[in-house]
Amino acid sequence: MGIMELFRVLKPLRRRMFINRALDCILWGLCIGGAVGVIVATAALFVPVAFALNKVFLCIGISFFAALVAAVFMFPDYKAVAVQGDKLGLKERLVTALELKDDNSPIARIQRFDAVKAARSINFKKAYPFYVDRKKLFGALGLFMAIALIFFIPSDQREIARQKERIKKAIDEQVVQVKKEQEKLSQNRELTLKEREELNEQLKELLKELKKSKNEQDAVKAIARMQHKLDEIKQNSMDKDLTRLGEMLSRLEETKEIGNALKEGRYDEIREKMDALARKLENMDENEVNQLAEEIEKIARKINENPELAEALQQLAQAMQSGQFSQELANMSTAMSKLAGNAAMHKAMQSLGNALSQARASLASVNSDQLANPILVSNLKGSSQQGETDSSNTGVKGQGSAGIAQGVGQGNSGSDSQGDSGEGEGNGGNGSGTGGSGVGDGTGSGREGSSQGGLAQGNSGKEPGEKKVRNYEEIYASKRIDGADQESYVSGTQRDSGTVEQVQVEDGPVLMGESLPYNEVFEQYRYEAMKSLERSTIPAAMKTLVEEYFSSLE
Amino acid sequence: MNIDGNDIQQFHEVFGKVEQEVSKHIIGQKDVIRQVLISMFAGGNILLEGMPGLGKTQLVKTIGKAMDLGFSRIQFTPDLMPADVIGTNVITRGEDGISRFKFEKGPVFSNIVLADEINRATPKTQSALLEAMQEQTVTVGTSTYKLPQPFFVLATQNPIEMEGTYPLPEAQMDRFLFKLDVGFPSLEELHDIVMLTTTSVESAVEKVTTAEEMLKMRAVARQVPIAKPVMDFALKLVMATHPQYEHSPKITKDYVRYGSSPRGAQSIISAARVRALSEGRYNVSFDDIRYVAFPALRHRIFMNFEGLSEGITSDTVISQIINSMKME
Repeated sequence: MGIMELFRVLKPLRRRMFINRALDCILWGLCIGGAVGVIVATAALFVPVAFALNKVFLCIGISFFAALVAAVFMFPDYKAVAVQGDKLGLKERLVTALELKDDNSPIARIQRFDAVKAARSINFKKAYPFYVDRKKLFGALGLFMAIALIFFIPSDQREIARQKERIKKAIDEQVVQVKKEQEKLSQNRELTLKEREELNEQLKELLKELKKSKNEQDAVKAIARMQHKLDEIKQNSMDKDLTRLGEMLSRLEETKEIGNALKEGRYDEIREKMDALARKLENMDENEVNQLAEEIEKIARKINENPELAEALQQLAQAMQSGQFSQELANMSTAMSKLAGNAAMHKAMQSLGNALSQARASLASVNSDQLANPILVSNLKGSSQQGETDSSNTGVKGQGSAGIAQGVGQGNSGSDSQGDSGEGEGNGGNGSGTGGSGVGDGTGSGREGSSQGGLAQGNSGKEPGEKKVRNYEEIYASKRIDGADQESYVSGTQRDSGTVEQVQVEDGPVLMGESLPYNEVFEQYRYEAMKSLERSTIPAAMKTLVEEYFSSLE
Repeated sequence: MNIDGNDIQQFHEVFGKVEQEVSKHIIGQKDVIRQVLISMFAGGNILLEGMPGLGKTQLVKTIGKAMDLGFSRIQFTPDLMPADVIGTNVITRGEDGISRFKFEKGPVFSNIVLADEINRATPKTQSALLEAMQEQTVTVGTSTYKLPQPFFVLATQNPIEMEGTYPLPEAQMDRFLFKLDVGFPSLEELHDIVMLTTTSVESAVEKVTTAEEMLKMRAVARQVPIAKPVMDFALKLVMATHPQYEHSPKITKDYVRYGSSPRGAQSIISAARVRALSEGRYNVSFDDIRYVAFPALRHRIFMNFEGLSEGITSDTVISQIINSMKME
């Protein structure tokens, strides 16, 4: 009787052992998963853990499946089966027989025979029943109940975690959107391979950064960086001469529309504009045409870096003087279109740009929800600042939060309290001013949801762009930067109790402004500052100071 | 010696017959009978300890008769000399009229030697048995004589009346495979003993085996396989009797002065093999080791002063060692 006979006899025991081991292993898995789940659930009481419940389920699931996989590998070998069999009263017959499997001496043969005989005499069903360790089973159940109970314990951190979850979901949605854009891009046959690759590379970079984003700020920054890069690409892809030409042409009354179209990249409109110019030229007298021809010739000389375009302009000027300009206008249009590069590329970039803007708006809206919760406002890192700016000389106090902005103006003396715009501005909120004879000037802006919650901007409030350019810190950019907004004047006389006026403004903060990387709005701010320098009576030295300030920021 | 499958399978049967025959004439003491037989089939000497009159001598005599083995009894006394045990050279005159030394064999030249009350003889006489027990030879002068096979020494000693006795030295104790404690019979057993020994009916002991067969059975017993976990268990058990061994239980470290010698491990394994066969099994089990551990080790463990003063016995130590060990 060989060892195979013994193996055959031991097979039922082996199967039973496997099932018992698997059950035990699974119970272990559930216990470990439950224990980790309890830790996660408890941790979620004290620190914000996003998707805590999902994580708990994940822990339990992973442990369970790991246990299942482990159980598969725990199929007992015959040595273990022999040891177990011996414990059932076989008195080490099986272990000995297994050790003697290659021995063919009389004693080994007799011993094997004895082992097989003894093993056959045992009813493994009775001797080795299926077994579920109750301690482990109840332990696992207890842990699950503990998890459930912990989740019923109220905690502020859970609210914060929920907000984080919303942000994460929003980021994930944007990741999906970016992937869709990537897909669209890869199917866009109008673009050259190089262009596709260039844009695709940028999108990949964006995806990577979005996935790495830990909060909405990171995500918005990543999107802003992408937008910035798109702008750079756009800038590089456009012919600078065309832009310059557009600049120059826009200064002339007759070619203003063509110039603007060139500047703004509306190349598909050029031919139409050229036709319009041709019609205009036909109605012009000879002097005017000659004058225009001279101007165009001057322009042609100025853009001599681009001989093709310069030559086309030169020829146009000559043709205008000779009265044969229709054909040359057409040639000019063709040259411009050619130089304008690939319109499809611009279109694709435009589409991407729109998608990115939407993404940013979407993320920003998540943040505005977050700001609506006072607990979150006080707890969330990176969005917990409450801005309050008090300006004594203008009597402005602006305070805003949760979409409600209040502008309180109080003039302290007739002349000193002069405010130049006097506006309580807060979208979706209230602006109120109390004052004497002066005019309160405040801009309390309910934040649309960025890093500076409830920022109030008074005249002496934070100046934009305080050495943040390099970091591209997000700042709130009001759409009313030029002051074109509702105005509120507070009437009254000096030192009386004044009146209170409340103005219900029309729209929510989100639509009236947005968070932008500083470098994007810097130019606009500088432009506005320069513009106001021109129209205000400011000492020359102060003008220089302001100019130097902006130069230093550059 | 050629051993075949039949010899192996017959062991259990022969062992059973001897046991049964001895049990007919020795009332009770089933465990002692079994352990004496195990020790004899394993080829070891036995030290029987018990009160006088418990049938120790009768047991040895009966076994000798049942196995058809030569039997001699030596009553150890303080004036017993080594020559009285092993024999001596005597001057004899030959037919040619020349006187010569002739070795006159002592009572040790027998298959079974009963050394009664061995602790009453002087150490010199006690040690005369050392060579016989270990080497199964006797040396007188320059001549060495082989003892008849099989050869066993069954010594008895009285645990009381220690005055005027010479406790056996460790070296001699180590030569005994087993030390058996012969206990007092139960009421029923005592009744049977009285009934059996006070009537005129004398029952003869039947011979159920021979010396040759016994030697063959010894050879068979040596072949019984022992699995590695079982062997490890036995060896660790012996190691655990030493207080210096790192895995020894607390009782060993606290109360044991010296643990078992390697002979203890040899004794356990040899005896366990016989015990397995006597149970009709062809492999050694943990149970066998546990069973033989007590008689094989109890005289090999020496307690320290604390152990002696607190009355800790070697059986207690062995029991706790076994309980502390895992069988894997």
